[in-house]
Amino acid sequence: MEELFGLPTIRLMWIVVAIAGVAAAVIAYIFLKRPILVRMGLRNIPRRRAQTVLVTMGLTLATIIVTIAFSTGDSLAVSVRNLALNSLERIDHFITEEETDDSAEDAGTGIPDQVLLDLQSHFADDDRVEAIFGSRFDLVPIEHPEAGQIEPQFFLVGVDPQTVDRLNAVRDEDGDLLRLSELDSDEIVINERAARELDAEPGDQVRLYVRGSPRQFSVAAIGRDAVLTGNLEAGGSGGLLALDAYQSLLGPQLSPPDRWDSILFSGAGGVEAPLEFSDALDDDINDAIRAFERQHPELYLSNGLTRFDSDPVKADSLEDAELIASVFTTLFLFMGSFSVAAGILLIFLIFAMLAEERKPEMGIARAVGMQRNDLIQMFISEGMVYNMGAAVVGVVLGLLFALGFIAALNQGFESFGFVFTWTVTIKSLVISACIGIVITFITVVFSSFRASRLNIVAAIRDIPEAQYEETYPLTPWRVVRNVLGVFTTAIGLVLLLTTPFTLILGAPVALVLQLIGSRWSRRLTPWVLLFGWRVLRWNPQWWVLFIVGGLMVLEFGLGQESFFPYMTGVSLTPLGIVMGLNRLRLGGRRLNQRLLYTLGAGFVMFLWFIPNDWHESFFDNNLNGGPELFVLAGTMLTAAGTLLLVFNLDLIVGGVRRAVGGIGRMAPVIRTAAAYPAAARYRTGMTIAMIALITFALVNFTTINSSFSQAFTGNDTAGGFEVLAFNTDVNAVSDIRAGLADAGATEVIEDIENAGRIEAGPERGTRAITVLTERWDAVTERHILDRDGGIQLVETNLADVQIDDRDAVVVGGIDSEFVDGQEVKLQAISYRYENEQAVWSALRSEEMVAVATVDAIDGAFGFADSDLDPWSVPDTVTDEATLLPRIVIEVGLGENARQVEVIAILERISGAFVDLDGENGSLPTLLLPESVASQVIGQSESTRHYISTRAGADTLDVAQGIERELRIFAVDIQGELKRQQQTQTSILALFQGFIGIGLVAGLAALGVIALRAVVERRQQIGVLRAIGFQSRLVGFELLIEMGFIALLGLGLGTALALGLAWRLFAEGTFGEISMYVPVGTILPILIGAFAASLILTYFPARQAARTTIAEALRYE
Amino acid sequence: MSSRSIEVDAESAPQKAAGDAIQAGPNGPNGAEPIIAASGVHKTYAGAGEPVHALRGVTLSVARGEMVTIMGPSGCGKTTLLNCLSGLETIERGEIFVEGRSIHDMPDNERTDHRARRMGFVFQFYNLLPVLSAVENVELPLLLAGLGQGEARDRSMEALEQVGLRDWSGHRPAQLSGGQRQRVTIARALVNDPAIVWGDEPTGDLDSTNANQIMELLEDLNRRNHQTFVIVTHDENIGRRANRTIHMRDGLIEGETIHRQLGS
Repeated sequence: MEELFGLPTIRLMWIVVAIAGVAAAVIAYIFLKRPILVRMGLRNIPRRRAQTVLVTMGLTLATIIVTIAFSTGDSLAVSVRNLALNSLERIDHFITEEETDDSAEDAGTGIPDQVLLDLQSHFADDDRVEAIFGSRFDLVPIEHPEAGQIEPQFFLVGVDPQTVDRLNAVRDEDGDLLRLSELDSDEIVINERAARELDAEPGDQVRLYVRGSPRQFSVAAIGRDAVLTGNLEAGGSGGLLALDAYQSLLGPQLSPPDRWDSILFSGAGGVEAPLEFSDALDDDINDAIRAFERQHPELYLSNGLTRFDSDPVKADSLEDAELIASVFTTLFLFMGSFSVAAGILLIFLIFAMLAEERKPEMGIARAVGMQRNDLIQMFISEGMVYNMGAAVVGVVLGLLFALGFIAALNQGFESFGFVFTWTVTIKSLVISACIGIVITFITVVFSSFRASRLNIVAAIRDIPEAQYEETYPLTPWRVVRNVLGVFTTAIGLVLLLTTPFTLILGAPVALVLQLIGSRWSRRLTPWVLLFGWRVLRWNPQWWVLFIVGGLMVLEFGLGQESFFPYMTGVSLTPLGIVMGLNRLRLGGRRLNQRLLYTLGAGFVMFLWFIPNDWHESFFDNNLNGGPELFVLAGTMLTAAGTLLLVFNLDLIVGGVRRAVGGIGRMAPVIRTAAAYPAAARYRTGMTIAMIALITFALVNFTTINSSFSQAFTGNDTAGGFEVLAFNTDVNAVSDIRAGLADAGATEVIEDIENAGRIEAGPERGTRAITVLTERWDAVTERHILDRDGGIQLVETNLADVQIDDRDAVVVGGIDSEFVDGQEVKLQAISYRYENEQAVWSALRSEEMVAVATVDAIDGAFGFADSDLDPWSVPDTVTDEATLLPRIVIEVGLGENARQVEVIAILERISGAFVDLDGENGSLPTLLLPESVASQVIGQSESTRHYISTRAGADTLDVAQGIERELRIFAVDIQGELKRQQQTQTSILALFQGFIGIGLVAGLAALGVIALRAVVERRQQIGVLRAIGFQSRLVGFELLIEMGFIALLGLGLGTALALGLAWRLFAEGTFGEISMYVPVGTILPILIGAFAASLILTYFPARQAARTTIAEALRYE
Repeated sequence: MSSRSIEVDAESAPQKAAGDAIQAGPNGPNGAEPIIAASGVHKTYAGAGEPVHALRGVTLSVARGEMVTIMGPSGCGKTTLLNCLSGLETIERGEIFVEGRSIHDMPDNERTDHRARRMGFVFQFYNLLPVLSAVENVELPLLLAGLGQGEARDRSMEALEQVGLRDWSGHRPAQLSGGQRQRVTIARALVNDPAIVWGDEPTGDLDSTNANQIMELLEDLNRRNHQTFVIVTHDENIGRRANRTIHMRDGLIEGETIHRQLGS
């Protein structure tokens, strides 16, 4: 992978190496200067081994996540690159015919041979070009009678054998060269995929069908899946014939002798060498074509527009490989950010607990003269040893996880024919390890600062800090100083965004940069120094930071019309106010903390759960956001939810006790188990937050994905049809029943209830335009309600509409049987039609009417470019969900142009299978009555057969029967949906597994707390045992306690995730897709996480149970 | 007040005599029925270095309703003896009978149940659960004994009343003074009406005023409830308040002082 976030990965590597180097230098400095501090820090590591393991485990998270992301990215980059290179082999550039809006006389019939000759002549002396040759290809059904297998979508390629042999461009499945010129006229090379589908081997006899007539060929060899062997799309079944054999098979009508489907360029020097000059050569090819256009416009131009273009296919494929890798890595890092956040919380928690554990000794150390900085250095030393260990373990674990993910990806994409190879580069390893080290280092430094803040007396006496809490009078100077501090931080953040590592590394690195001449360093150094000084001197009042910083980012968000900063500010400001009020003393007394935090946290949650429109209308702003809001929502909601929980834990605990506390001898166990978490808010809150954060990500992601999956692969998608069959150029069947009857397949006919069809026009919609005649504003302004409540309309003039306003659609003509068989739902219908039945009746009666897919509204019908909203309706119309204004369009050009009225919009989901541009997804579909469509598109390009089967019929049998008897491609829709569901499920599981790694943080936190509890409550355990707690009850108490925290975290995360998902679905963020809660997926995840928390707590619990009473009572 | 030496056995011989003495029935110092009878009790701690012989064949008996203090220099084995007698620690050799049942032979669960039903404990550092309120701390033994929450709460409030802390029932230990905490501990020790209350330096962390108040409370409870009190202390003043003081040195009982006869 060469780039990430637009930054070359090599530069990224040097940046993180430099920062990690600074971290190492800090440790080296401490070690050399004050070795005693390092020794004091390190001696704790072997003392508590279990704790050391848990701490390391927690610290590995960031490294694991980044390693997985990078290794998966590398694997995808290399796999897709190899796939592209193997598939294209010696082909570097394609010349294809552009699909234009209009046609020259012979447009669409292929590339004239003269173009090939012109190009060959032009590049004859160019050293970069080894060969230029033409190719023909088409879909031809193939059958392997002996195995009883048929493949209707077999991509047959025909090329000149001498040229291909000269290029050594075709290889067999073992990678050995194949000589095409040695093929007999009745011999064919089929690719690996075709061999598998047909169960064919070299020497087998296969039949190719053209217009229903079979021609027998012998399989000469199995060629590697590649473009020249018909593997145009990954996983495509195909084969290769010598050009003569191809021409002879297809005949002059389907394959005119002076035409090519594409012209191929092969660069000199092998497979990868031409990539060096690919861009330059591509420019030269296009320049040559532009020159030919000027010389022979009649040949090279179509209606004045460019007809031919060069595509640097190999370079593009490799760029795509990079892009895919970068997208996946970004996606993984994005998803992994929850885990990294949980890992950071874990580090904070661990250090807080380490500090708590060592409080008396730190207090004594401070009392006898140790500086606060010494404590910080001691903690940093210890943290960095954990950090280094964690980096190594994290990289190893990350690689293992990535290996598993690639295996899972392979399983998910198996049916598509992709095979990914697990790969990792040294660069990625270095980046992963260093990023882990850097994240942990920064967190450790902050944690160490926090841990070092202790009241010496409270520490020595090991009593709560609160008793010695200093009260800061709220002087104006303190406020001013903090506001200044916030601004300084803001400047620092700007610098951070501009040059991340200059800021983080501070002055020394800035100096180094200055020496090596970075243009930024001179400008930034004073700022960095200033910022560094501020950080060192500034005693931050977080509430001021939250309020002022929050308002600043809120304002910034409004200015930028961006939800992310806006919601950050909206979330931080109320929390800052609450924190500030918490410091207030009225009459010497604090305000009610529970009330403050409940209100503050509740308000933040409220702000996240109200529709976006409310925010926008409140500030009269149009805010935009992307998936990054998902991370922000998770973080802020979890923070607010956790505050809400921890400040009301006593109420929850009371509730729990009332509910289950009276169960016999368990009563005291439950009482103590519930009381401890409520008494230790900080650690309970941190642990709840960690578990909730990951649960939020898991449940929200799973719910949204499953809702999409359910919508697009659910039964509704089929639109009432069970089998879909496609005609091709070389094999067309206009009437399925007649075709089957001719073939004598009566058993298949008997299973067919209904067989409708769509005759589809050119997929690029070269002849389609759409024009809006009326919009709701016209209706609103000029409508007259008649006595029956109808609306009288005024027509507008089409003459004003320019050709440039036209947009492409794919036009399809539907027959009456299609209308009869369909169960496609309509999202909206014209107010001129009473109901859906009236719409379909109009289509059946061949009126000048049409229905369109929903994409047409914004695109082809032009609503996106106007201020008009087709979905809004006049106040007088009440049933708004089903009504459309009158939309009349002109479709087609010149003599073929027709005006039709769009009377309904198809629902996206149930209309998915009638979306004629479904695979490309870029053009809307317009369905007209067949007779009207034929006037617009002339002869159809393809026919789709929509078949409903009789009750009890096996739909797979029907699809296979049609393929077998008619040799056209047929799909069992339900089977196809199931296959897609399986793929989506396995990919979903992959991401769930990835996000779920973050749960390790929560579980490790529980483990750390449990271990700590065993130590710090040793005396209490002794007392409990003395007064009659049996040993198993002591262990059980700890299990219930940790289980209680885990349940709170899991419950909070689930509730927030479902709440946010509900809001998003309710406000239509995902269009018409309804929310679907996959209980069957979520519940096992939650149960598994809960079980894991109990398993991890089991060992400390056992340790607690085995505590020797007398020793425990003696323990101090 | 009279002093006498108790026959002790460093190695083996007196063990039999002590055993005989216990089996002989009521042979407590006041001729009352012994509620605790120990003979030839040995306890050794295996540390990193040399093993420490904490008890080297202790034989004693305590009569029902008696208040006994155990005194001696630091490290002489007072707390170990108390722990062994109360079943908090196991022993290597010897026998301990509490209310006629051999506590050293009991499985851990049975011993724990026995403690829950028949014993109460008062420790030097109070050892209250900091996360529970005073009344909740007091309730714990009752809930363990299987009482319903309502009854447990009523009895706990009564116990707190006895120690003068009814109005402080909702406070957590951190909100109470040292003396108040120890009173809560005493209420917890007495709430299930135990036959024996064990105290390990119950006034050790208190000033003299509070210490006196606590001892008065214990004496009062001992007189009113006729419960047996075994208290480890090194405060002579405390020792004198008991019926009898057992003196220990180097894991052995070296003598006893009778301050007042049981029932006097």
